Amino acid sequence: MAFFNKVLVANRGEIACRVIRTLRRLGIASVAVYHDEDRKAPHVGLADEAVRLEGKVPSGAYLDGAQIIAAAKAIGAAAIHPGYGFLSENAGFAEAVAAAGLIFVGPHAEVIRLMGDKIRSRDFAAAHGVPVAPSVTEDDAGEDFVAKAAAIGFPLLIKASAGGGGKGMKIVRKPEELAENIGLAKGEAGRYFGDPRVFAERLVEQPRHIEVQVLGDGTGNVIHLYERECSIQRRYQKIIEEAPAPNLPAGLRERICAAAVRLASAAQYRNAGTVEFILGADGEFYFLEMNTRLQVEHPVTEMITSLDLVEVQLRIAAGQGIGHAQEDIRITGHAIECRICAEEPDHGFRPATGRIGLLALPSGEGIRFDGGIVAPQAVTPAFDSMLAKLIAWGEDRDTALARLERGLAATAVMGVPTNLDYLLRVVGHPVFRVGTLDTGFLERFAADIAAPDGDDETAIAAALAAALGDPLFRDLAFGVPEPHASIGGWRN
Amino acid sequence: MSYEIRRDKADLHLDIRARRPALGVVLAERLHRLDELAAVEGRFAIRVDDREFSGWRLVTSDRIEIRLEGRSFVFERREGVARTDAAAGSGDEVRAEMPGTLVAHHVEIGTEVALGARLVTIESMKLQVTIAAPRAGVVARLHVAEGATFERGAVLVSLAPPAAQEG
Amino acid sequence: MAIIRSAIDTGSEEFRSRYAHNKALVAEFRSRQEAARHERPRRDIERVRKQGKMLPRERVEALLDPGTPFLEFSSLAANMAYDGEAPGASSITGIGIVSGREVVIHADDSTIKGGAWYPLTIKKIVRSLDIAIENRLPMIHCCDSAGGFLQLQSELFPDRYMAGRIFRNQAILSKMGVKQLALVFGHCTAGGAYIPALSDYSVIVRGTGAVFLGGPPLVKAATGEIVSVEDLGGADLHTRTSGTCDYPAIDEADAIRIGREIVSQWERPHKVAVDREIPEPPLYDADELYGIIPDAPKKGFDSREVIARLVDGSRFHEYQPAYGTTLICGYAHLWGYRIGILANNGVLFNDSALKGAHFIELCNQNNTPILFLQNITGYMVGREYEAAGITKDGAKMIMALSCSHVPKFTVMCHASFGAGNYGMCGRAYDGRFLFTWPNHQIGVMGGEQAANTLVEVKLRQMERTGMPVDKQVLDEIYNTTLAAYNEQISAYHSTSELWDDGIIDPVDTRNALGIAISASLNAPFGAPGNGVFRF
Repeated sequence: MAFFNKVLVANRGEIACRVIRTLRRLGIASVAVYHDEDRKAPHVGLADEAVRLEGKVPSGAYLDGAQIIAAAKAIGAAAIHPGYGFLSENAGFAEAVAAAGLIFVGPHAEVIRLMGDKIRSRDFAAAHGVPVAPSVTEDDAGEDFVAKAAAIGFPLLIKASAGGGGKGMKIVRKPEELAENIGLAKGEAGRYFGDPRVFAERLVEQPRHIEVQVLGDGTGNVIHLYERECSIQRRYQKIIEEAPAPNLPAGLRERICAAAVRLASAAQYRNAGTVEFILGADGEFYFLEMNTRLQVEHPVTEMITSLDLVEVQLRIAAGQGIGHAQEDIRITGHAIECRICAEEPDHGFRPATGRIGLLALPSGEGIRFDGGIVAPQAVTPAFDSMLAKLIAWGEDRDTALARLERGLAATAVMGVPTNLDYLLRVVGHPVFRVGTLDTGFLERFAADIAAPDGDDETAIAAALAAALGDPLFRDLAFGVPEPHASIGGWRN
Repeated sequence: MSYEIRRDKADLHLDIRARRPALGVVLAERLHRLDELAAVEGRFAIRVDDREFSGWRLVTSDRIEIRLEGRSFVFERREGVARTDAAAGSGDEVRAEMPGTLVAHHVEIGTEVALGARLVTIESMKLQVTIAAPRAGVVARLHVAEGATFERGAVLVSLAPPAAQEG
Repeated sequence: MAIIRSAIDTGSEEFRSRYAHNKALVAEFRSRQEAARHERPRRDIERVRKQGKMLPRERVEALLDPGTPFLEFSSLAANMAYDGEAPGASSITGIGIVSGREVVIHADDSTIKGGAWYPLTIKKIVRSLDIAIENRLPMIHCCDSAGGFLQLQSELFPDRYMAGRIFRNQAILSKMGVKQLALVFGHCTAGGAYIPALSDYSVIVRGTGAVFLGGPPLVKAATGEIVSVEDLGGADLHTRTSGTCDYPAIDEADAIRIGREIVSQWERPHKVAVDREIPEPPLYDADELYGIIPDAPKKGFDSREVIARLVDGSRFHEYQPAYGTTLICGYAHLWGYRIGILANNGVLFNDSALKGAHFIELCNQNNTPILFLQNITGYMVGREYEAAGITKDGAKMIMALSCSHVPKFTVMCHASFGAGNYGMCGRAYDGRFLFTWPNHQIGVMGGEQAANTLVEVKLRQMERTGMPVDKQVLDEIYNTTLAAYNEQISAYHSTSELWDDGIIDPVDTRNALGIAISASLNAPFGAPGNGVFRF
């Protein structure tokens, strides 16, 4: 029961490769698109056909919906899979695809619009009984703002309505400090944004990032594939994700998953999607946002449910329903994913560029490597810094961790700086081992996770190994004739 | 002369003390016995004293990267990395090696130039030649106007010491 | 090959007393060597440091591949000349490994009189160039010399083997296709200027290196022109304008780095393909040589005991073991190289001379380098031996030796007197290398023999002229002759005059010879002129 004859994958890198692999398994012809800079990229070679995209800026080519739709029509693709990023949450694109008589592997454009709007989606969630962080705006409250803010409870976060980036932001822990801090925040907001309006919101301290994978058929029929923990973040971006979330009480898990299903069902959600929550130490959780596409970290869910989410996406897009009932979904074991990025963790995670000159991939039981790189390959600033994902599965979290560590150590991406060493140090941290996670983890333990000095045995061995790789050293070491080499540093 | 390689902006000195029966290399004031066990397509295996290590090695024109026991090490090769260019001049005056016409100035008085920076273009014997700075410095004077002709040996540009070196 | 069974009893009183005696001799040698190498007026060292220069030995060490040997020549040259003013003859020469290549290094020592060349300095440099020519070894000159030591100009300037020979040898070396590199660290004044000029490659250090025929003072005296060192012959002048030097260097370390890179471009040598075994150390400890070498010139020893402490596995294939037994001949391996050995075991008689001549020819037929271990008081004298043709037989040995085409090496082990010195490859016989042990004595005859001979001559003269025999006169002749001889026959005098390539500690002999043999294989052997005569 083929869903489509031919599908165009409107993406690049590891996710394009990952989607094409499922297409191949299902016997569906795959079409890749590429910008010139990517003409030797793996996703191009992996697909059955490939279409070159014009574009002054490489990333612009992959954002050029009209060009991609034209390509799909010209080559006879029935559907377009957007992957994540690029056009995946572009409602206009989804509409244009439909208007062109093609199928967009994703939700209705309207749902994309709804969930893409922070205020509307929050109101929608609240309206359907999904908890949102208590807050009050100055506009709504007027004269009573201080009192209404105090009523939310402490600690409180005062934020500029017009702002961002922490400017005009104040944390208030005691009622008697509230009025003063609102004044300070308004002053800063006025200075930075020319708009003194502020709002108050419940501050969740040491929050965990918990998200629920849902599947909807577009008729209100929604199931969930349980949650993922994505609390290990740097610069507000996830780098390690796992499923299920460690140390999550069963009742709480059920409530969170039920809330996610409630939201998606209310939206008559179609496609795979993710509902993200903030979970406080007190067990209270609040809606954050919904991502209406496949997530980067979807493999951990696949590993514990044995489902292929791309396959389910295609089935739903083909109008054949979810294909699974909630009661069929069983969690087996534990899975953890690490994002391998071209970046320098020791220098503020700044993105790195270079040329991958050597690539060694891990293998073995429970190891999955989702990559889109080859050697040699240039890593340029044109695209996202994520190169690949390493996922480890085990019967329990400890087994998965052990396999992950082994897998990371057995991975080599050389020629461009990566966060591989950093990931290993995070995974090895004792607090991470016991699964006590929150989004402040990396900052709190930064000193523990910092790179070691490098004058230990391994560093010495590395220097010696490096020397042995240098023809200059080899000449010195092995270019000395006999008997001089045997006589050594003798003087008469 | 010992072998030098650079890691994290610090020079490491590897001093070979012995070659038989195995390499003896002093690094960080300790003598290590070094045996190369294997080196195949980016994989290496060595024995340092009594411990065996195996990892990956990537050698490029200016760097050597090692990945070993879950750690990455980047070393800068010293060969081929020019330190100070001794062939650079030390004089303050850039002279014409042949008679010709000055086509264009590429700098102004006060421009700070690095070694090899384009100073002026001249034309002589139907060929345009760009004159490069023989050393780093500050352009003190441009002696020949654009379009003017000059004789062999004429001073074209005067350089003052780089700003940082003054005083 | 049979292992030499040592008959030495290391617990014997004789061994212990010889050991103590020779250890003391070596200690004295080491202390003289240390002084010659490092004792300089503090003011001279400070001047070098102030100029940002390395000491000459530091340059040599930096030039060499790390952890490789350096066979230094004639470290005590000129030690008994010029009132000791020119230790090491103001220069360092030797064979070492640079960028994996065997090279001869010559370094001027500017901590002594600005590196001025004394007559013996020139002899030492010429000798190092001869070594380069004979063994086709590339040469690196570390130049830092004020030029000839003008007070002694008549002894260093005009003759065949004086200063001009340096440059002649450089030209010949280049013609032979053997590379030369000059590193101009300091001044190369007057004749010294030709060293970089005649080198195939040259590097000059900016600021301290300079090359000119006449320095600023001479120029001012000659023409009145006032000019700075840098403008007259500095790095920029010679690498930009005159083309006399090839590469400018920012400092000495840079010059050495450039120099090493130049050498690494040189083709590797095509050495003579001799059979080579896997080397093995001698079965006996070389340290025991101290207990074997006698504590007086007149005392002898079995030279097989020395061979056993030099050659691989102490194995020795002895040739004609029953004939001419005062000369030990045979094959052995040293650092894996097969060599023929001729070692004295007493006075040379007719049969031992014939055996030696014959074995030299065998080594030539067999393309085998020859090692001579000299401990010889001469060919036997007397009517019976003259009648048997001892002079004729000694001449055969000299003929075979002189016409030999394989490399020859000589170690002066204990004594070298009379024509035995010639037959056993003394300095005049173009051995590739000649080393001396500290206990060694050398002369036309021993001091006592010379004194007795002169007393005998005087006595006859007195008798012939009818003068009364004056015992006091005869005693004076005896004593002055003995004193003069004893000074002249010492190893220190020999090495001071460069009659050898240096005194070596006996335990260093094996390594010195290993490096020497390896060096010799850079030059082709040539072919024998005739078959092997059985005399």
